[in-house]
Amino acid sequence: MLRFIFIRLGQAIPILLAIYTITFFMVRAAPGGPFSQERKVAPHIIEQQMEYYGFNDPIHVQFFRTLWQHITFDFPPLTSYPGLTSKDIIADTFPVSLQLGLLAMIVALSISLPIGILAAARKNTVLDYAPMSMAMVGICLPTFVIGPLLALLFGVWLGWLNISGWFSVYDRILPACTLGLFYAAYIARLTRGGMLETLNMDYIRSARAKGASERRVVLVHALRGGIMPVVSFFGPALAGLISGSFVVETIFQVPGLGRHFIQAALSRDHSLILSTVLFYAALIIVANMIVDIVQILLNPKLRYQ
Amino acid sequence: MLVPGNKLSAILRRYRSSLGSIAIACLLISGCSRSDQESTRSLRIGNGAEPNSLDPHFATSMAEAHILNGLYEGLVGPKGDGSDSIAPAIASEWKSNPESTRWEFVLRTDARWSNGDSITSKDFLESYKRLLDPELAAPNAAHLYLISNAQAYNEGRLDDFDLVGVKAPAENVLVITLDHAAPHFLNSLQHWAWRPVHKASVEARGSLYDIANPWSVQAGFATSGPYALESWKRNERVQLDRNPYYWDASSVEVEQLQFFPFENQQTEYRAFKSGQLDITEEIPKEQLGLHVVSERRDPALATTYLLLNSESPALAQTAFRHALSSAIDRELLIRAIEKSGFPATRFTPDAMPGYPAADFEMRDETDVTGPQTPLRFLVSNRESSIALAEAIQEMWKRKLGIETRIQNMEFKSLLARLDSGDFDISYLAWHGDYVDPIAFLGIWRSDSHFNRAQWRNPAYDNLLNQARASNETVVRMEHLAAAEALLGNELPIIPLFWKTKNYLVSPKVNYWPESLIDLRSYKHVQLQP
Repeated sequence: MLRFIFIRLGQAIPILLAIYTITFFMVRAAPGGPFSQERKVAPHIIEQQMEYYGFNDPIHVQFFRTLWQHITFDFPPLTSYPGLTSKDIIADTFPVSLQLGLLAMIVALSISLPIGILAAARKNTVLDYAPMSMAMVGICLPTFVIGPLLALLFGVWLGWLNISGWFSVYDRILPACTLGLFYAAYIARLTRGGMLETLNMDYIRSARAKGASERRVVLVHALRGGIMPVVSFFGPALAGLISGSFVVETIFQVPGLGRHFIQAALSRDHSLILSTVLFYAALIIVANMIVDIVQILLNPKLRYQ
Repeated sequence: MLVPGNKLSAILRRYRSSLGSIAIACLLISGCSRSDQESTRSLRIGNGAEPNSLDPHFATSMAEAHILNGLYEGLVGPKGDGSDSIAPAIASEWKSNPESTRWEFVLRTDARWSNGDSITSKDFLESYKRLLDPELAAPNAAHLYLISNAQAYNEGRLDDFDLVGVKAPAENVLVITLDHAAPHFLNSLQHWAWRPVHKASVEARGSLYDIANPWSVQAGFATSGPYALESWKRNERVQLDRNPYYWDASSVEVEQLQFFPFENQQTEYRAFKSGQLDITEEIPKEQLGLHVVSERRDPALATTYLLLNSESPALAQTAFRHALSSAIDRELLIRAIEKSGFPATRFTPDAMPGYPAADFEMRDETDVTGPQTPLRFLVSNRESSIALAEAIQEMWKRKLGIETRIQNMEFKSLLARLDSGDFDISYLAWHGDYVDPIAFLGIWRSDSHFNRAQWRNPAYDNLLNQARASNETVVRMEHLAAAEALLGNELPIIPLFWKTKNYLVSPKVNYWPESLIDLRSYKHVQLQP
């Protein structure tokens, strides 16, 4: 297992390097620079700022310098937030996004797994059709519809919860539910599909023949195989959730990383763009690796491959 | 579906534990009070974008200005009666020579920084020296170019700061010598670039002239205004508490100002509706007119306009530019798209006090021949800008038979296109920095770097120079009005609307001063008893 982890981490290095290179040149190819504003700044001031941030150096010098800064975690000051570095921004906002992502995942799993399993076990009954139709609606309704609806209901009409901010524990409820409901719908369908496939397998028939109770067949024998599609989906979903959904963060004014991810690009903050992209990439790589490990633990056949 | 009684009780028994937890959760949620932001003597303000910097030498956006306005006070401030007229602030009195080129300010002796240090004329001098230092490359340096030799020092053409027209002959006397006559000088001091920073606070975190000195990113620096920074949680809240050392602390009624960033208008609106905000930054267009009690529409010094590329051959004829302007039904655009504001009949808004300029002449030139190729109309990808461009495109097509090709793009890309001159027409807005027509007319000077129209007109420059040479307000205004008339004749830009500042104010606020430049005097704010 350790060998597997080392190999995977080794593979991550060229991937991150490729992502760095592509992002570095894409950012520089984008029209408009970090200092262009609607209210133009005097040319000699822009020139001095370009010099200060090292944008006047030859491109290869900038490329390797920025690369080295990212390897050694010694980040330069940001152009959009003078006085701060990417490290400050990520340290400020990542814990928020992590919390939101994990809470959303808990919401998603606690709703979707029981529904999916029940729907598969009671195939083609009301218990299958009703939740699966709801799930279909859930997938179709984007977060920017669900979010404001929940905010209107619980914030404006009922007045129970704050509709923006991240101050008290209760402020976590609406964003986590909005983000969680969207994924819940998806995971419920995946669970049902996986379970249905597994329930038709020979070993399930054997289990039934041996007299195992229906509950044991579904929850012990079938679930382990049926949940595999969910586990595969879990990796990218978790990374997506944790890196923060930009939309949900904007709707509820959550101070997470997702907004910086977008803002950095809009303000052409080269350093912040690179750092957030690399951070996001590393997160996906780690999440996928964890998923692979979980899959190996769940499915002994994979251990020999 | 009917469920027999015994079956129902069986179901209830079976799910008793889950029902119990659902009930507890409901109680928890319904019983919870709103978060701790509410306090009777605090004001919660929606503030648009997240500030990038709280250094008055670097901050350029209005979101930053709103906060800096609480943190810093300058030589003079607004009266607080809603008229933007000038009142003494850190300077208790002042006088100028008859030419309006030399201004002497006497600072009040009880003016203190929020750490208790006295505010002296040296603080102003050091602060202006920092702002003008070429190494710092501060975007707001240009605001001080009124001072003699300031521009040369900032551009690195002059090394000796002693030659720049700022002197501190005594601890409480500041003398500023200007480059040219400026009877409007006191008005231009309203901009936050003129407010002093506390040198020791800056130096405590690094070099005075380091662009990335992090002195203002967290609380702890001394301020000169009615408030001091309590905390700044990025993308969440900036909190200012009352500065106990402020010279006029007894008139500051609001104990705490909380600024909340909102990128999304609808989120801000919902926050106001649910009682989380006392004042919003704006009102979504769909909600305009729905709140009789809370809605405010303050006049503002802001004009939206079509920028015409003077170097584009398609727009070379003056008659054609006039035809484009008069073919636009501004009333209709306001009714259908903008939902607020007034049709602009000249570039400088008519909310500008004491400015006698006439309206631009509307010439009905219908028999003009347009260019062979469609005009390239560049707009940002904001929904309302695109809608507006499409409406104007249709008006030109119907009335003049002119084809226009609209290209919408992300804002920085748009700016890059405008700066490269690769466009015919674009849609922009200009907000006046201070209450004087030159804050509008100055951008179309030949040597102004704001002049994206690439319009160069020696007669126009000459009129502005004559205004500069004049220390009589009436004569100066006449020159400026003549320059405005020339702008109306030549039409290098087509004014569209004069904007209003639309926002919501909670009934909890008794008095919230108006301001044409959106810099309100917080010490005059009154809350309900």
